Amino acid sequence: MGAATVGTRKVQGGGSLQQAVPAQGRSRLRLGRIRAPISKTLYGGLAVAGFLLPLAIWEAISAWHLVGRLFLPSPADVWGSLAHWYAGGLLRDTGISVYRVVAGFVLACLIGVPLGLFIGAYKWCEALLQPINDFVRYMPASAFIPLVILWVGIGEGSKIAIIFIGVVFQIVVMVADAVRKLPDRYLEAAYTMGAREGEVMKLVVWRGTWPQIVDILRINMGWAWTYLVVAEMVAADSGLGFAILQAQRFLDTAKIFVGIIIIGLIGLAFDLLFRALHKQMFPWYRP
Amino acid sequence: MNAPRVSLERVGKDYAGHDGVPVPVLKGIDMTASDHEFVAIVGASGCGKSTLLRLVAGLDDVTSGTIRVAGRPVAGPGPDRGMVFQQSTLFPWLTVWQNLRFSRGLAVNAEATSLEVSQYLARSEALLNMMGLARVRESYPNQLSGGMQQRVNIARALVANPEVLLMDEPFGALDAQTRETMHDLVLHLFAAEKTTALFVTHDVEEAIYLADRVVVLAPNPGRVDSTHVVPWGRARAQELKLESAFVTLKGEILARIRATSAVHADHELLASMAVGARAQSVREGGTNP
Repeated sequence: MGAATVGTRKVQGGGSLQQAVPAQGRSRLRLGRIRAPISKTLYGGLAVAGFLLPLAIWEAISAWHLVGRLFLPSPADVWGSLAHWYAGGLLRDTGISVYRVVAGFVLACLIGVPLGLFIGAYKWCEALLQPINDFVRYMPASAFIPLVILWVGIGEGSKIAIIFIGVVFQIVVMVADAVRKLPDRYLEAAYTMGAREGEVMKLVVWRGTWPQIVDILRINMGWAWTYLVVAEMVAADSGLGFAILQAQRFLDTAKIFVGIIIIGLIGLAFDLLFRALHKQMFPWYRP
Repeated sequence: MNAPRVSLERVGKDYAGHDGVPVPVLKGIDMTASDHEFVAIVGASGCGKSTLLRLVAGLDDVTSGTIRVAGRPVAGPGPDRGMVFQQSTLFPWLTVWQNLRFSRGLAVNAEATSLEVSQYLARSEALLNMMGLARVRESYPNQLSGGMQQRVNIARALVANPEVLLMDEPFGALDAQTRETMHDLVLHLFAAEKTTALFVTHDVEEAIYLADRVVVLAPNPGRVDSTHVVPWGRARAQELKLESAFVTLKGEILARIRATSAVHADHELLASMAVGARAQSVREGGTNP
C-alpha cells in the first residue's frame, strides 16, 4: 500500500517526462530486481540475441583467422557441410536417431513411471526397490556397453537398451519424489470422503502428480538425447551420433558441428513440444 | 435425550517418542455430541485437539477407548464423517463443481438409486447456492480466494450428508474480516442443515460464537478440563460478541486455558524486559518511573 502510494506520486511528479518514456523507465528499474517480470517482446528479443551473440563471436573468430579451421570451422564451412550431408542421407541419419531415442525413452517411461508411482506411494515398495535403484542409477550407462552387446547383440536393440538404461532409473527416482511431495491432506480428504486405496491411487496420486510427471519426462527426454552418441558407439552404421564419431575419425570438424547442432535443435523441439503439451493439459497448474 | 450422535469413551492416544517410549497425547477423554449439536473444542497449543479430531475422522487409530458415531465404532475414515482441514484440501486439478461431485464417483456411492443420484445433484446445487459459490462453479481452486476455497471445502464435506462434520481450525488461515463473514455463513448454514459438528479452534471468541457447547482441553496429556454451555440459540449476530454475558463467558474460558497451559508466561523474562525498558528510558532522560 505504502509503496504503491509512493509510486503514484513519482509518476505525477514526472510531468511530461513520464509520458515520453514511462515503460522504458520502469523496465530499466526492474531488470535488476529479482523475479521481476519482463514483456513478451523483450523476452523473445533476448532469446534470439542469446543465439545470435555466440554466432557473431564465432563468425568474428573465423573471419579474423584467430583459430585454425581444423579446430574451429567457420559458420560457412558448417553450412556447406550441412548441405553436403543433407545430400548424403542426413534425414535418414536423423530419422534412425530419433527412432532410437524415442524407443528407449518410451520403454523407460513404461517401466519407470509405474515403478516410481509405487515406490512413492508404498513404503514397502520403497524399501524393496529404492536402495537398489539408487545403486544402479550411479553406474555409468556407457560402462554397460560391453554387457549390452553381450546380452542384446549389436542390432537396434542394443542402442535402445543403452538409452533405456541411461534414463529409466532417473525417471523412477524423480517420479517417486513427485509422489512423495503430494501433500498428505489431499489423500486424507479423499479417505474421509470414502475413497478406497485403489481410488486414492488413481484419482488423487495419479491425477495430482501428472503435471510433475510430464515435466520429469521432458527433462529425461533431454537426457535421452545426450545418451544417443554413447548408444551409437555400439557397432552402428547410421545415425547422428555415429556420424559424429565417424567425422572425428576423418577430422571433419565441420560435420561434428553439424551433428551437435542438429541434436541440439531436435532436443529443443521436443522440449518446446512438452512445454506446450503441459500448458494445454494442465490449465489449473500453479507450481 | 436420545443416544448421542458422537461419543468418546475413555479415549487415549500415544505417539511413539524418540527413544521408543510412548508419549501420551490424549488420556481418558469422555465426550459426547448429541444430534444437531455444535461442539467447539479449545485448548492451549499442544493439548491434542487436532489429534482428537483426527481420531474421530479415523485418520489415526486410538490407543485405548472407543469412539462411536451414530452408534457404530470408528474403524478408519468413512463418508459418514465429513472433514474440513485448516488448509484447503480441494483437488487443484478439478473445478469447484467437479470437487463437489468427487465423492459421487466413488465406489462407496456406486450403488445409489437414480432417486439418490438426483437428490445428490440437487443437494450439490443447493449447497453451491447457499454458500454463494454459483458464480465460481467452473473455476479451479487456485483461482479462488482463501475464504472462497474454505466455503467449497465445507460444501464438499457436507454434500454426502455426513453424520457429523469435523472442522479442524477451518478459518485459522483467513483474515479477520473474511473469518467474520464465514462465521455468519456457518451459523446460517447450520440453522438450515441441522448437522452435528465438532469444531476445533484456538480462537475462543469464534468457539463461543458458533457453538452450543465449548469443551476446554488441558495439555500434557490432553484431557477434558471443563465444559461450558453457550446459552444462546442459533440466531446470533456479531453484536453478541460485545454483550457482557458473552465477554464474561469468554473470560471464564480463557482463564481455564491459561490455568492449564503448558507454556506458562515467562515471568522472569517479562520482568527483565521491563527492567531493560526502564533503564533505557532513564538513559534517554525519560521521567517515567
